[in-house]
Amino acid sequence: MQEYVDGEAGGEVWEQLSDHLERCPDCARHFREMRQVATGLDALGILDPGEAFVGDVMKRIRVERQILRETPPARGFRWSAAVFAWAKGAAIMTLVILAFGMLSVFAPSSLPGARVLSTDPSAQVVISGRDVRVPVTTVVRGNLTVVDGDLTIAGRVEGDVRVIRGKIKSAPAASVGGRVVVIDSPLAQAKDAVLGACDWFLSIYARIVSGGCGR
Amino acid sequence: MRTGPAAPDFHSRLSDDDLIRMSKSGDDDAFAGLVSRYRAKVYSLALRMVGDQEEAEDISQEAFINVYRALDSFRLGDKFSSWIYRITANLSIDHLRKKRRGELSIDAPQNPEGDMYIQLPDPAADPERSVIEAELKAAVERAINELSPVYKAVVVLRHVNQLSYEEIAEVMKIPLGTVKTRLFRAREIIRSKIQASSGDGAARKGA
Repeated sequence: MQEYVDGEAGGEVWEQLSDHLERCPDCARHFREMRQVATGLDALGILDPGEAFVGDVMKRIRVERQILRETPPARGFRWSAAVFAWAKGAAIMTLVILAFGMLSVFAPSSLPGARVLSTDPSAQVVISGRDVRVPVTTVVRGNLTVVDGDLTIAGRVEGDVRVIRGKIKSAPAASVGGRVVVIDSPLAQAKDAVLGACDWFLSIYARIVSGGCGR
Repeated sequence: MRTGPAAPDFHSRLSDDDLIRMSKSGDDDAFAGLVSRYRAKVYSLALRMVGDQEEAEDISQEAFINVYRALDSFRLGDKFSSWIYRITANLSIDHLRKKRRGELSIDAPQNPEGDMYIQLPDPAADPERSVIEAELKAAVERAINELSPVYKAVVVLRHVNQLSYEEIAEVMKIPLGTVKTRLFRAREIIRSKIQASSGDGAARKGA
């Protein structure tokens, strides 16, 4: 009966149904009511929200696109743009850090006292004035550079040791795993300053990788 | 971005697939053409689902924006109408459920098949009302509002959007049998509600 109301029932179904409806007043009434419901439902009809609706939708789309700073839908492009922006930022940061590092660390300082750089961010060394000491308990797992200071190694340095504008007071041969370089000439200083800056940058990198500067 | 005077007519002659292809490549006017083509059908579906003009407008806008966001995932050749109806119906159902959660629940819980409850007649309705077309329409509107969201969706897709059983099955992603069960049962609920609110005698005369 319902399918007939929808006009989706076949002709023979209708014949059977109409036969039955003629003999059964209850079903006939039910059928009339069902048709009435369908008529009432169809009368609801389609309502147009108006032409302004289109403008509202397009405005929201444009606002959203502006917020996401995306061009019309193209996922791959957005992705590569994000990577490019990140790489550009990282490159600028690297240059700034290198320049800053070279200027501030390697320029002769008016302040007395040694500065120590290491590729091992957790290395514990003792600095007092110009004296730099690697205690017995310390193992530096990387390179160690001392600027404007005199170095004493009681513990161990597994990498290279560089001393710029200073001297090595005591360093048993077995205490250094890599090379030992002492630099005093301005040219050699400049050359090693670059290497030192690289070490310094590496130490920052190692610190970031090992989980932040706070530790 | 502005459409020229000839543009709306130009877009109205293109197929859904053409407009989607153009929208995918960033043609906003083409997407506006799609919105224009479906705005009334989508709005009417939402309106009969949620029963409030402002909410219906919000839901319709949201439906088109969801479509826009997901344009890339739409496969050309699929029916756009089914897609936009599905999104609209689901947004409406979600909206009704959210709204209802805040109020006293008048629905008995449904079993997984989607079977349901019989509701009480509306006690506020006038028992002497005669069922002429306009009043019948009003009675139907009230009755629809009290259906559960999933029943409502099937009834509205059938009678407002004039979809076939098969199209409803495609939109709601339910089997054909479930479409019929829900539609027939929902109409039965509406019928009994109208009879209850108009009074038996008046209903018989009106029919």
